[in-house]
Amino acid sequence: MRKMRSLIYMVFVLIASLPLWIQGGNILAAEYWLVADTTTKTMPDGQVITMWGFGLDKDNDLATGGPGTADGYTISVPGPVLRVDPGDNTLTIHFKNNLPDPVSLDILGQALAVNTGPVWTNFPEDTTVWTGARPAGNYNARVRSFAHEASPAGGEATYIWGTVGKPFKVGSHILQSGTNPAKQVQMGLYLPVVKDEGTNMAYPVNLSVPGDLGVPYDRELIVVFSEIDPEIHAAVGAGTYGAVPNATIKSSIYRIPRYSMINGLVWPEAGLDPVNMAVQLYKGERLLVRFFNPGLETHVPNMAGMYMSLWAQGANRFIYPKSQYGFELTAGDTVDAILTPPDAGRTPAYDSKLDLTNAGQASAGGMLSFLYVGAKITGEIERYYQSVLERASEAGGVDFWQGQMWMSSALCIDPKEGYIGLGMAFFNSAEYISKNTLDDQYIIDLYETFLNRTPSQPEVDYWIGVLGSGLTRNSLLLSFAYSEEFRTYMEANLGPISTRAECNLVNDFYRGLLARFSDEGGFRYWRSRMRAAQCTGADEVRAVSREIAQLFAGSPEYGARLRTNTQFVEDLYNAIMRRGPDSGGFVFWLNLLDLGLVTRTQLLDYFIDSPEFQLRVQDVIGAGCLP
Amino acid sequence: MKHRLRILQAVLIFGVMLFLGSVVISHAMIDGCQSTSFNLVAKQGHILTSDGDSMLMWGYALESGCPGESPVKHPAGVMLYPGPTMILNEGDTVTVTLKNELPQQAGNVSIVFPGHKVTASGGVPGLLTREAPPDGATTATYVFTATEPGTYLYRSGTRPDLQVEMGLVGAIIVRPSLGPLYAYNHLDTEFGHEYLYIITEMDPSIHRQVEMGQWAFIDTTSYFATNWFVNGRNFPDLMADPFVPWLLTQPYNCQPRMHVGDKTLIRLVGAGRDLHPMHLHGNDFETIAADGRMLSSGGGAGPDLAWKATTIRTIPGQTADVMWSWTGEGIGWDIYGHSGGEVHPAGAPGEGIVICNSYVPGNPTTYFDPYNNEYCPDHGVPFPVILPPRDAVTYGAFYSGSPFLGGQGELPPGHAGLNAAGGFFYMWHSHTEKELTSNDIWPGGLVTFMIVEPAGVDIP
Repeated sequence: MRKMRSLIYMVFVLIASLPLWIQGGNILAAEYWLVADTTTKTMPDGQVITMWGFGLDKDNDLATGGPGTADGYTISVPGPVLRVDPGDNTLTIHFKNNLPDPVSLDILGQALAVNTGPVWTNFPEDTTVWTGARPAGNYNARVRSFAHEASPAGGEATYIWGTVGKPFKVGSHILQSGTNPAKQVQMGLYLPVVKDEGTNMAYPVNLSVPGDLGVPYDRELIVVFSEIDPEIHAAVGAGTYGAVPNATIKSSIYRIPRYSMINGLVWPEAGLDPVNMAVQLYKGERLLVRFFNPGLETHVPNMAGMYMSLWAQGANRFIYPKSQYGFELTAGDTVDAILTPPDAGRTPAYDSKLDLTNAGQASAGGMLSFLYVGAKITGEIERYYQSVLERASEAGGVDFWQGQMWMSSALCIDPKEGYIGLGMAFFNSAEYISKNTLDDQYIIDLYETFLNRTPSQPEVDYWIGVLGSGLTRNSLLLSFAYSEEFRTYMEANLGPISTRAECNLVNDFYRGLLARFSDEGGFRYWRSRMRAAQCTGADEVRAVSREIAQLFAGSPEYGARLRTNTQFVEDLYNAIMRRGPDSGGFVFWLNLLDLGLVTRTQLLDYFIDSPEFQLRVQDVIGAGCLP
Repeated sequence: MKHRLRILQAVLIFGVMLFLGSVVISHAMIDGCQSTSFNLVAKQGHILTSDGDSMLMWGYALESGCPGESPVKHPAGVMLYPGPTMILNEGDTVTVTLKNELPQQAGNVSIVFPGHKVTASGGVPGLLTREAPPDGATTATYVFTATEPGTYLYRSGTRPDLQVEMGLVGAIIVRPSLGPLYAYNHLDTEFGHEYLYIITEMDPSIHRQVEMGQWAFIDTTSYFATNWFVNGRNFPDLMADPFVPWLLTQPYNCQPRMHVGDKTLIRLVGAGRDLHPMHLHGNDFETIAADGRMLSSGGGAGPDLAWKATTIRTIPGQTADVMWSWTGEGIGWDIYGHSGGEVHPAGAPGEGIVICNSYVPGNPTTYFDPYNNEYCPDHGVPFPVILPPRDAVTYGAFYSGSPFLGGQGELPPGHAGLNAAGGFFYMWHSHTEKELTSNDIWPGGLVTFMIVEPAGVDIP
């Protein structure tokens, strides 16, 4: 059976690549316009580091525009991921060098199709240049660059790897500076280059192994390990590094990395929690993790409780994978692993060589990140479309909502909130409202959407009675969304859910007052405020909880929603109480508001001061200080 | 003639040894605490290093010793470096509790168990897991099921760049359901003896900063190790017995021994921060597993992806299992000094039978004597060197006085005589040679010796 499958795959690959053959060799090429320039990185401790990095020229001409301009480029460390498509024979890079040193490009393990280097210079003057072979009779000349150079301050050069006869090799590769690499690579001149064997197929089938299926994957995550010695960076930035008359640091022989980075970030920078924010990953899926180490030190990526299948090293596929939770990732090497997470949740992924501090500080730093594995109910979003809007999803619709739900849960918000947010959005959409459903139909829609069942007539009658007592439809929706039955249904399908209390409390204000999913930047800000408060003390948590409630209620975004008094009370129950209102309470507060006996501000304060809300604040306090 | 006498002497000693008690075949097993419940306390304590120093450490203590251990070996409430080696059986559900009696400035403490799915509760939240605050009372609890056999480690998951350096590490051995003399659930992983190598290192300046309370000066990015440990001891302390009273906080030794032809499993644990190239003299080894997973192509195969080498790097936070054996094959001379025609001695297996009498040149299945594993093609091949007179050379402390396995000879007056059974000593050490020192004093650090003993010697 397995043999059969691999045969089918081979046939599939052959058919899929037919059109590529017809196109002919040279068309099958990847082409990029790359710029090297200086940038800075501000570390979490405030230290500003001079970096050298790569960026893609936005309009592919290398001609105009500086960093950040519309037709310019954005420098990053590591540089952008360059992809060579499965059928591409060659990779061409048109390169512009805006750095003060000459730079050349080098891909470890790949030969340039045309290399007019190496470039030799007289040492230490570095004033005379020879290219090609060693200058005759000169035994003092040194190689400065492995390949032809792009001159400093705007010089350009083109590099081509692979030929029609010997195509660019499949796998994970490091592109880095080929000029004085001991200096330039650590400054940040490195980026990942990846080429797949086929669509979602990292490496080819090994025909000599019966049943071999190649290395297929569902998702791909790129992680790059590297380090910074700030003193060397400062010296390079000041022009006092190396064989110069006023040198403060002559070489990297005594390099002491003080910052250790994953994807150019050190803990606790936002992009490391989770490290796969941009890569939706659900339990049971095959995640291809491409590990790159363009740094100068060995690191030991460690997935804590999860085992990976190590499939390739240095773009060479193993015949059989090795199952390990960690491995040695040496400087200049790449490793490709398949991780199939058995459970949803956050898993630490870190360097078990323990480069876990920023410049020696006591608090956690360095190469620490978290992988988030989501849980989803397959087909559930489509079911919401059918239940509420009575139609199939529009193109891209499911992906959009799945993306919103992914971001929300990856930011640590209860995954149930994603479905609640989806339901709120659908039931309040113009499309649904224009259906003018009757109350009983609305109630049936709520049952079918949130609880995935048809209600009995007494159940419908009960809720019609509740509506008649003065409650709004959205109040009903909240009662369903925070019902025990919904929780049971969701957890039966998503698995057990544990969320830190501050995550849900912050999200309550986005859902309840702004009626939308949390945005990443805003949520991270408030979460960090709340977590700082948890480490300060109970009073601070109470104060921040009040502050966030008042700021959201007083925000221009909330004001622009032009909420009526009814809706305002509805929102308070939603945001502050996280539940559907009881009719007695709802009518009572609404009357006070309508009669002008309380202001909205006063009512908000009543809700904030209520024992019910303070109990939830107590949960946030009880969750404790997260270091 | 003298040579003959020595052989006779050796045979006599063998006979006595056999008589004294190794009729039952013994298997050296790793010392540790077999339990499913470990109540640990993070504590301060001091260890002795072989350069003559006494260093402050943080370690995991067993709050009330090892449950059910008799006679008691693990002292209750004493800081241990490394922490207790947890011996588990496949399928065990293990509960580990942790309290923290370290000084306030040490902050919280925790345990991570790489390769295991752990449920943590109690204590206070931490980045990697739940943590025990330094109040001596609050307990963090970790529960996991040892689903797969193999070699694992545990260490601190809180500020580990400092806390692991300070000593909060330990090993876990999960025995397979196939039986305790197997590394994994496959017959090809059977062993006769097993030894543990928990490799760690130390930068003494950090320990002094901790001891002197210079917390603000601690910077683990400039860490520079000068002391190295196997199972918490340096050479030569690691050759002493386990659980000796003068090394109370360093209970475990590392003294591998085996008989000719035995299979020995070495469980390597990279518990510290650095990589160490462990070089095993005497023969190639086979790496049969990494991170507690047999190197196998699957489908019921054994360790068919095992790789042979003489040196293996221990990797921080990871484990490897290697299998080693030694028979004298290919050495080119008779390791027993036989001249041919001798019989297996009285009381030994094959008593009275002529050694290597079933050997047929050209038939590899007959190359090893079935009773003492002697490599028969070399049987009776003379020693290729004329031995200098006793007083013309200096004998090393581990020389028995005879170049032959089990042989004894005259030793000069005052010689230490540290090779009672005439075994062959093979140095197993880090090949980063500076690590063969303890704070610049040689010999020290990562030096161990495998002693290949002649058949019949008791190996407890």
